[in-house]
Amino acid sequence: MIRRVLALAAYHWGDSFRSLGGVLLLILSAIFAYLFFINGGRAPDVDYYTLVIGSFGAAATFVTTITIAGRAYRAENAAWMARLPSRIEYLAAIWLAGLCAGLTLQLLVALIALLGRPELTLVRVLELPPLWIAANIFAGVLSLHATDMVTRDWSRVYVFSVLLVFLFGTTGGDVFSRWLSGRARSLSSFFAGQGVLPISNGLGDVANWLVGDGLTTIGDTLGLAFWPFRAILDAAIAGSFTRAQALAPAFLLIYATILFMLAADFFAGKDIILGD
Amino acid sequence: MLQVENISKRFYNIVALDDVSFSVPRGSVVGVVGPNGAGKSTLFRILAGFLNPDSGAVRASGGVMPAVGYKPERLLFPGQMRVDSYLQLAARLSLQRGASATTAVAEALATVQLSSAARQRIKNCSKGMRQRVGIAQTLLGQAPLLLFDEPWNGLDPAAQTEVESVFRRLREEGRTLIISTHRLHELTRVCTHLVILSRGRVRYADALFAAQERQPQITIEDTRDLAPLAGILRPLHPGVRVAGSVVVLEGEAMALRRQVLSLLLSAGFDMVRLETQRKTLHDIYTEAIQ
Repeated sequence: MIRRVLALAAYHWGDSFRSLGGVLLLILSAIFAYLFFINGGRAPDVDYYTLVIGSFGAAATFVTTITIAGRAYRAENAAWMARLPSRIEYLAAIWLAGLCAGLTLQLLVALIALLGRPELTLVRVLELPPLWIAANIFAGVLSLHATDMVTRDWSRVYVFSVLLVFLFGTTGGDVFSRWLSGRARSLSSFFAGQGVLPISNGLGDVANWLVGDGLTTIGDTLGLAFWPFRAILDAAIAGSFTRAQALAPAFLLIYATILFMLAADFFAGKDIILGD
Repeated sequence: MLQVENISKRFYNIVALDDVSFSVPRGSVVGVVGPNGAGKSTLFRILAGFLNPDSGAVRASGGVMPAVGYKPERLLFPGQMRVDSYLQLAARLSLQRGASATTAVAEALATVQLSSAARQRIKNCSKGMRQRVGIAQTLLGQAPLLLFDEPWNGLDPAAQTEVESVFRRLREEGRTLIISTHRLHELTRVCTHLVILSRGRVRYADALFAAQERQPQITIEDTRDLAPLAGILRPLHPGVRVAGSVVVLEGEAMALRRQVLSLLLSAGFDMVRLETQRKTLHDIYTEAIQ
């Protein structure tokens, strides 16, 4: 199985950089590196550079996986797919090819940064992969859910809606709490008008809690899911991991595993209708 | 080897396959024929694992679906690849550890007589050459089940004959082939079993020999008009037909051939032809879809 996955991943990795889209990604990565590391973009410390290169890798993996999955879900690949004992092998190959392509772009950016910034040492660049590989893996698996290859019925909408709810809860928790508080207060008034005072009072309390302690509680609860990302960012900026932060990459890998299992389930059960 | 059991498949409100069942014996060459829109390609996509049936199942003997070599009807290739690189990847996806992909590719190319074009880019190949690349790809890896959707399309007569001999060789090797085509003439020469589909339903599924042996006939042709003898011949059996200078004995009426012949000879007629006819695939197909 590993031999087949590696053979397919190597083919799709190479194929992606032979396409116009792949060449465009290489050029855009070089421009990105030039803008951030050579032409201006000076920062007070080296940690800024590692942060930029690290996050760039995750974003690049997201894009390359989508691009490769789009090319891999064409009729010209039908013969490969039929040969594999399991569709999951094909999915794993696409994910691996996307990850490798993302790492290639990240390496390109890191090399340009090394050339343009003498203060950025090779040692710091070599620290990047173990620090950011989990984020790259997660980004690659997440992007599979955005592709036609994996999407089954409304799965794309469900997966990214859940993600948005968590994201909104973290960044816009106060807006959400105030909105929810307003709805609870309206219901409270309605029940008060009907003379159902116990329910009205209860809803009034909930409304008050939502704009008080609830605001922080909801934000914290929904934001918990994003803790690994924040932990890696904080550690990258600080230049070292605390004991708790050191667990963050492991949590990201757990997220990636869950998302990959979900993607495998969608892909294994769907009708494959390949486009030209 | 394979048992297709009560497969149904709908695309929205269009019924592509309706309760399709047939069996594929090991080492057989099963021809799947039917008019356009009969459901042949849908059936092939289910067998190749691209589509899931709404109901029913494809069961393999031993419970595990065998490895499949698949040549789709519409052949699309990564055009920038060379013929040998394309086949090398196909080989690496199918071969057992230790087997040489290079040797397997060389053998497959020789089989479809394409060795001279090994280093040519696929986008520069003719339609017939691409068809052969598709067949070579299907042969790689010793998959026990091979699916060919329209294998004779775009091939010149010599290549068609060559493909037929490849199919016969594969059958001798014990591999199982399922071939979907509109080329009944070529199919007759290679297939052992026949499945006729029409409007998503199976109209015939059995050995080709069984279909050909069903209702054979004897034709006796004379030099003169046989109408004067029709009154004597027809009452012998409902399977005796007289038309112009020809007497046709169908099914059980064939047993009366000696009696009919002696009647003709005693009446002074000159027989010019006596022929035992088996049904052609075209006859079976036409009857089945009507």
